[in-house]
Amino acid sequence: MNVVLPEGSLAQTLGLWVAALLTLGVLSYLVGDNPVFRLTQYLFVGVSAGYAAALAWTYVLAPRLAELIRDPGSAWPQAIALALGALMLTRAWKPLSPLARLPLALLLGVGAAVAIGGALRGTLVPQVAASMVSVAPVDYGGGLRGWAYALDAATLLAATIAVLAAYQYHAADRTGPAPLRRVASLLGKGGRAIITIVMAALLAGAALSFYSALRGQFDFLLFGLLGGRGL
Amino acid sequence: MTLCPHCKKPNRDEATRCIWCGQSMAATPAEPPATPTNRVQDAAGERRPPPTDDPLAGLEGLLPAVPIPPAPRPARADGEPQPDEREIRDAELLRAIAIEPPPLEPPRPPRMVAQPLPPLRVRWMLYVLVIAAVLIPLISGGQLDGLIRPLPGQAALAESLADLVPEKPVLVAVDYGPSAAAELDAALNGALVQLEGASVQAVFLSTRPEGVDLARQALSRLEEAGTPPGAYCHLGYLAGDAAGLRLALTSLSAALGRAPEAGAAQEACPALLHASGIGEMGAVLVITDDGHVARRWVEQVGARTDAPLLIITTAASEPLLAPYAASGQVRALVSGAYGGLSAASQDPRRTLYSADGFVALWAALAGGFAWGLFGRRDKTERLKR
Repeated sequence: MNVVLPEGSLAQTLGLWVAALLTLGVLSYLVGDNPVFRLTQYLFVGVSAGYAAALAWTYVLAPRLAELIRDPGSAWPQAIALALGALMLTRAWKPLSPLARLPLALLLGVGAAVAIGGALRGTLVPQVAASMVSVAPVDYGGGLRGWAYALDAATLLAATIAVLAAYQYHAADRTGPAPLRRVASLLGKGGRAIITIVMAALLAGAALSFYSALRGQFDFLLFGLLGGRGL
Repeated sequence: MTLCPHCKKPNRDEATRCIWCGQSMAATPAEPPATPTNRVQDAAGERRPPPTDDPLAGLEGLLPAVPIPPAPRPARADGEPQPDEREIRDAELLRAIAIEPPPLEPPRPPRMVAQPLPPLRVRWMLYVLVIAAVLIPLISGGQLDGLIRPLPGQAALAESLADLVPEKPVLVAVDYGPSAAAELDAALNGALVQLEGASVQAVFLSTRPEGVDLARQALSRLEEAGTPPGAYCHLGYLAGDAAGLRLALTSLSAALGRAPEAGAAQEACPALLHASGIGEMGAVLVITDDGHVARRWVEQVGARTDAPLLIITTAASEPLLAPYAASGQVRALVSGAYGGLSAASQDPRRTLYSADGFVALWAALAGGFAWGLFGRRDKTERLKR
């Protein structure tokens, strides 16, 4: 599956021109939806699916199958995995389709367990611990620097509480004493403002990424294609 | 617009049933001819057709329609609790509901609030502005590239790579797709140059299918630059997402299933003599355009190994990963858009990757923001007027 073509070969030149034409096909969407753009879209989806299937065979299935055939004595665990994979194919035939539940259950169970364990250990606990910060300037050495760090920590704390309050929705409006409800409502508004700012930052980042992608394609069209080399 | 023959409310011309009362729009209600004898006058003085199941049907007009006074409330014995006004009102309301249930409101048509698109000329203006921002380095020649200073993430990445020892290899996870190559390739090249300078061996793999060929292209660039082949190896595609990473943490060969190519690479790659799993690597460098993939590396690998986790990601994913860098779980977080600028500016090849383009883009975005802010306000005021 080596796609790094020899420099200056006919295949590379042909590939560059096809890539350039497909790039222009995508850019043709500027003038509206058109058959060229659609053809490019369908090609992309089809080629992506074919590539993923070929990769799965090359890197996942074929090596394990070859290992099993070559040395069944030591590679017998691969047979279990391959058999479980084969059971997934029974979904195509209704009388045998319940057999597919076994690999599916294993897949979902193991996947969920690994993901939850990782989320707890890698995200939830460390992030909660990281938000438990001191707001006392003395803990940061005092002075202007200590106050600056303390202000930063207090801002982090207030923003965390405000964002959590933003997800209380109407519960805070109906329960508890009136002053508490007012505070919760104000905090919620502040939290929603913070979420809006974060969304704006994400949007700006996405704009930057799209710009970089566009720049890359123009780079390819102007320099890569005419110079006979890609980025 | 057509009026319903039953409820007289407006409907679309092509509607076959009324959206208000549900009756057919085609059928007109059959109404008996109005004659003085078949209409009865009610208490309010209005004449209406009599009910057909009334035993006195046909005798209308002979009997005057008079309102019947309510029956007097029977006297209650002493000591029996009397209902107060509120209870009486509630009881009457309940009786009214029981006898004459309120008609179900017809479903209201959903209010479609149209989001006004910018006019075509404005959209074309935005297209031209963005394309001009891309092409402006052709004219300016990268005048602003000299002003580029490394950001804190870049400095942390450089320090982490400089601290590596040659005995421990570095795992380079190429987990991005071709669409992000324009943003991430330059940053990856810069990191690989630093690795080569530190004489550290690099082991490449990808947990995303698209990354496999991009890793190959990075390796071919290394070959072109004259890097000796023993300095790196390519393990290919690591399947299994989170579970695959957990397995690779302790044993790369088990996670990769001893693929022929991986086996050959392991034999040709002395780096894996020192580290059988990711946990034994000197550092883990992840280049990805997907915040979820990066989080998976943090959760499954970063939380279970002492090797520093270094991430190069797109500007779109960077805000999602910033908390991990702030908490110290990620040693260095670099945004590809800015992180690659310094590497690109040192590239002798002529490209459009320049600080001038970014400044032009920000100017275009600021212009679009101002148009959205003030243009919308003008439109609102016009609508109010």
